Amino acid sequence: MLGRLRRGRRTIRPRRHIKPAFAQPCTPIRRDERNDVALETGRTRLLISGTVLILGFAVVGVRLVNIALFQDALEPRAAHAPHASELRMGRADIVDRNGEILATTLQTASLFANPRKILDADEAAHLLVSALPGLREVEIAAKLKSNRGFVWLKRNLSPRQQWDIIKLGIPGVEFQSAETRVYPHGPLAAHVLGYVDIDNKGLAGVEKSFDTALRSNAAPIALTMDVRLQHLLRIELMAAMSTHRAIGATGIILDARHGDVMAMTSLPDFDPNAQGRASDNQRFNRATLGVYELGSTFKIFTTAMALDYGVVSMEDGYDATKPIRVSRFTIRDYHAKKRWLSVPEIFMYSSNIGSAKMARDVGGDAQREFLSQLGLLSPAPIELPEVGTPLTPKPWRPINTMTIGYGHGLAVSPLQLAVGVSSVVNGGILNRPTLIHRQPESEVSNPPPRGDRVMSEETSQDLRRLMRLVVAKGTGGKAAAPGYLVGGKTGTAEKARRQGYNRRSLISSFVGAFPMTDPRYVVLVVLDEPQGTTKTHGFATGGWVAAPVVSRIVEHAAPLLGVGPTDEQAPAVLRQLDIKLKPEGRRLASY
Amino acid sequence: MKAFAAAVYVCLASVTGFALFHITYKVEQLEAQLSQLNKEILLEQNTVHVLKAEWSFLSRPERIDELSRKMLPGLHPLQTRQIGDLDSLPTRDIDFGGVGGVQQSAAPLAPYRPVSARSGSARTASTRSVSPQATE
Repeated sequence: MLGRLRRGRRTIRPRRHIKPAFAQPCTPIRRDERNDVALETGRTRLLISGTVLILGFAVVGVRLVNIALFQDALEPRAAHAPHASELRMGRADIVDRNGEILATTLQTASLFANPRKILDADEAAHLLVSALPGLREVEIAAKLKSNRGFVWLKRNLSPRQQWDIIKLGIPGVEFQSAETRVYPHGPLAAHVLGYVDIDNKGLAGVEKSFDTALRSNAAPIALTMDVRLQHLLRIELMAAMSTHRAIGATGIILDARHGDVMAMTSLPDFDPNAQGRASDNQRFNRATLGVYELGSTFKIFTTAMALDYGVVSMEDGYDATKPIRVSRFTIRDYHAKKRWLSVPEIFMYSSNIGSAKMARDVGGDAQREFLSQLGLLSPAPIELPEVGTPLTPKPWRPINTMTIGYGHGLAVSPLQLAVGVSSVVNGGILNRPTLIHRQPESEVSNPPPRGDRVMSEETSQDLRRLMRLVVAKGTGGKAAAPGYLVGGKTGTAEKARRQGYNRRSLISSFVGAFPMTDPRYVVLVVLDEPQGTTKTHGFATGGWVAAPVVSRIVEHAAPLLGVGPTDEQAPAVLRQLDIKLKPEGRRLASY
Repeated sequence: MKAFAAAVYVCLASVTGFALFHITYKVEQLEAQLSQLNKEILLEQNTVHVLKAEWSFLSRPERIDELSRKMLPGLHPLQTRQIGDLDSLPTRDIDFGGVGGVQQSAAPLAPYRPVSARSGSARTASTRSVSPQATE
């Protein structure tokens, strides 16, 4: 353009718009000053605007190349290309310690119809009912004949049902997908898992306490539970509950060394897949939320405390001839021996009198401190929202000290008791109970927290002997599982009424540990208001109703837990668990 | 010469243009393929997810318990006396029958240790000499 301008300066061409018909011989145009100035102005203007335009186009061009080649060229496509990374559900899975799925989220389809598009409502209804037998043909036909544009037919179909309906090929019937929380094991671990509401928001159990983590992480949460043990515990408890017509039952299997809750069940339970239909009684977690006066199992703590503080030794004893009368209370023995009893005998025959005197000699303040160290005076630190606060006496009078000595007047949750007993038998270390499984590979970099020492190893060793004695020769004989050296303590508590205690309604329990030479697992079984049967001669005490359950659980759980049978009569075992009873105690009494 | 240069330029331009379009279409095609594959992978993952849940449902201990009761009436829960360890196994005299002319030693591989867990009978067995049948 500029070149032509330059040329135009030298030769003035004939103007093109002059038509050839009128063409005249060219006459040189007279150059005058005015034309020159005008031309010069035009040229300069063109030059300037041309430069500006070229610069503009250059900028646009550079930017174009920059965007097309150098800036994240894939960016605009990311929106419509699905990534093939891990499948992400709205809520992560919950698995057991072996990776077995306990809770998962599934895409489910809900069936709806547009009645205006339905050609033959009766036929469509007939076909739908053939695929979904749960529906009623009359209702469906009525819905399909209505004049609306949208009717729900059935929510949350299984993939198979959905496929069946697709195969029917009914026009006007469509699906809407949504996410549903599914618990494949049904009621198995209902109280630990909890449940979610219709928007998949955790309302109870682990679902609630880990709600945020389950929503934000894709990785599943692994629990310390083992479905096999959980099943075992649950069926044994259910059997005991129906045999003894109990109104409730709870059981816990606890790893004594690490505080892992291997199994925990509370009966009656419910199906979290249909939690809306569960009653409050079914939802109630008796293992962690319920607090009970658990009775004689507390003698484990009383004896440990007295031995650890040096108030008594294994050779000492108390006179249990007569019931103790303190103001308006009378403390008497259930298995009364009416004579002087040594400490092992008090434990073995579960003497209330002896334990009360032992607790009195230790004193209220020391007792309170000891129990609080064992975590029995504060809510259990477990990862569940349903945790019961223990009921402690206020003020803590001497009579309370004595009754707590044999497990009345202080209500704790079964879990607290199991944790306390695990620290007594494991060598004196209190471990925080946990439901969250620590992956073995993280163990190296992130070792598990060490628990606090709550009593000396010697005391723990003495208690192991005492607990073994109870099963070998005392009130807990029915808990024996040959080969596994079960030790434990029976407990039978009368339920508190508005006025005093009810002799008819009992809380019968047994807390056991095995193998007693080096306890690895604690098993607790509690039955709420069991009734005696002819087989138990009408007794409904812990030794008769709860101990046999522990025996069966230990026998079947030990192989799963990797605990092999040992020779109960081996000299080393006998020496370790040997205990000296006073001469008077040689006469071995059962119940 | 001028015409030749022009022809070369036109050739180059058309080759470049063709290559450009070819590559563009190829990329688009690959992208569509990728997106299709990704969709399929997601679908498969979803299927695997559902199958896992179904497996968990079908393998729940309650059901296995019921099925084994029904289908395997001869199978009973493991009893303590059925569990043993290597040490409780008696050693057996092994005679290789002198294969290749080498007579193997007939001595037991490890000393026999009785299991007193099997109480009385095992005790008496231990006082007897090494016997391959031992205990039970």
